[in-house]
Amino acid sequence: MSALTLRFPNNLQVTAEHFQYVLSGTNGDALRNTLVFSGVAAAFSAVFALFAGWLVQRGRWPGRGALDLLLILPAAIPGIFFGLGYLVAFNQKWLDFVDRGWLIIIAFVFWNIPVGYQAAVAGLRQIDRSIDEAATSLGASSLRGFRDVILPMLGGSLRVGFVTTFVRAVTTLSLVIFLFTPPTTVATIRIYQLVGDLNWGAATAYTVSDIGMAIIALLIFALLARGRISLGAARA
Amino acid sequence: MPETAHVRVSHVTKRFGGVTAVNDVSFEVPKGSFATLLGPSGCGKTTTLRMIAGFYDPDLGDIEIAGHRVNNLPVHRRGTAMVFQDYALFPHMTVRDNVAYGLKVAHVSGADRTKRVDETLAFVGLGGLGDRWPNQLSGGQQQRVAVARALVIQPQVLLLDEPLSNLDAKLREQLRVEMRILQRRLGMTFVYVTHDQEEALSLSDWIAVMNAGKVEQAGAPWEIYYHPRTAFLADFVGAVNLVPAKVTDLADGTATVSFGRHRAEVRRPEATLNTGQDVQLCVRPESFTIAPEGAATSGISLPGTIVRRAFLGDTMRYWVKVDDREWIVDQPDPGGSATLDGPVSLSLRPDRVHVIAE
Repeated sequence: MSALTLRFPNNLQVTAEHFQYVLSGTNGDALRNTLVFSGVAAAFSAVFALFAGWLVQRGRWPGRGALDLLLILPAAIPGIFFGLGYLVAFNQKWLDFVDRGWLIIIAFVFWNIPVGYQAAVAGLRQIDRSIDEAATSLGASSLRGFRDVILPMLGGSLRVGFVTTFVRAVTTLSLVIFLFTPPTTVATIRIYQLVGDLNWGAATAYTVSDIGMAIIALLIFALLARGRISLGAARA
Repeated sequence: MPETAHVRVSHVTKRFGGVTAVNDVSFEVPKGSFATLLGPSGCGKTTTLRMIAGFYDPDLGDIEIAGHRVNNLPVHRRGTAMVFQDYALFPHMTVRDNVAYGLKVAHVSGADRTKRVDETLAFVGLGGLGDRWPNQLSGGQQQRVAVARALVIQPQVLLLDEPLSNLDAKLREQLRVEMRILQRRLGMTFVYVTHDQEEALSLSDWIAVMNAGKVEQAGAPWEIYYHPRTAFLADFVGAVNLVPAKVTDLADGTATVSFGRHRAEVRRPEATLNTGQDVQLCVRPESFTIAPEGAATSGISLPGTIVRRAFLGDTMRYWVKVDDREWIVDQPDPGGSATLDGPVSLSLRPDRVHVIAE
């Protein structure tokens, strides 16, 4: 309501002014940044977490327990500490080459790894070890077996990792609040700033757009999941 | 070193934590033979097979395939292929893609690959099913796909881990026959693991019976069946009468044993025997001739009384009380003779009695 009216609740004249503001010029960059950072981070996080899950679940090397803990640990850290930690760690001259946009992406990736990792481990538990063994016994290296056999079978886990990371990244404020710079502002930051300026109309327009992205991602996920179910039914 | 030893396992030991799963096991499998590791669950047979495949590393000892030590070779470079108990087909690939997988990994090109896949599918009797998905096939068909998938890459050695255990009895028997024909036709070395003694006896050229991480006895199926070295073996590979006896006299090639009120001169086993030693006599149920009381007997004659019987189709099984001991006696082709009851006389040829020294 607030996003579509001139001055809610005093002036209820319907307007697109706030959305125009949100999408105009540098203001639109914030939404684009949100989409790009979250999308890239979700893709990296999902793939990396899946690979890590495979290494820990299927590997036979020492130190697996330690890596398992390391991969779960970020879930216990509040976003704001996570962001602060990255700020301190990367606020050094020799690390200046790291683009601030990438820094946010890296923070997103590692902050969300536990989600994708858990999904991967749960998915792997459902795939009997003899499936991997069959691949290697037919002449595939274990990495090749992972690519040809495990990865396609873990499509569900991969999507869960991607969507959850994406939604969490789109909606986080605490993680990015110490990491953003003017060119790498994201939607949640703008909302925070606009609320501070008492510009409710623009703030709510941003919120609607931001949440819209999350909802669209979830819808696509739901459609893919349904497509998979009907594919399975066609096979049975 | 004889060229014929295709798989050689020398003094192999494997421990899991504090448990010794395989304890100083050695054996050789000749090229082109059907070798079976037989034993109860937990005896170390699957662990041994998995060490040959490379899924486990032995803690001690060596494994050789075709004269090369393979201890340090990873699974995919050993030239072996494995067939699993639960088939382990790739569910996201069609039957054809499953079978083609090993060739694809080995960079076999398109036309050749298609030809070999089709040939192998036809070979295992799955001609028109290449485009199905694994979950559209029955258990027996799935296992045939798994066998085809392993055979198509022409491994040096095919390893089979209880491939028939998940199938029903009828199908199991059918696939058992097919498996044997297949192996004969290909002349490929098979190493087969099972807990089913019947399967082992009917399939194998050579059997190693394992118990508690050790090979108890290895040899031809009939060798193990009729001349088991221990009571465990005798009991594990089928119905048996194990009768305590005492050695009373020893001569060249023969031993005189007494059991109950009876006495018999039987073949002397390879194991060392002393006069006065306690032994067990191992007699298979089908080694007897059973007849109504008063009929003429030959060899060792044992009068007794039938306690109970069971009709098994191809045989009638009697439990006959002789003195104070029950003997299991099988009568072949029960349809051809009247069902017996009450007092009977058993005769047993002395050469069918095997002495187990323990």
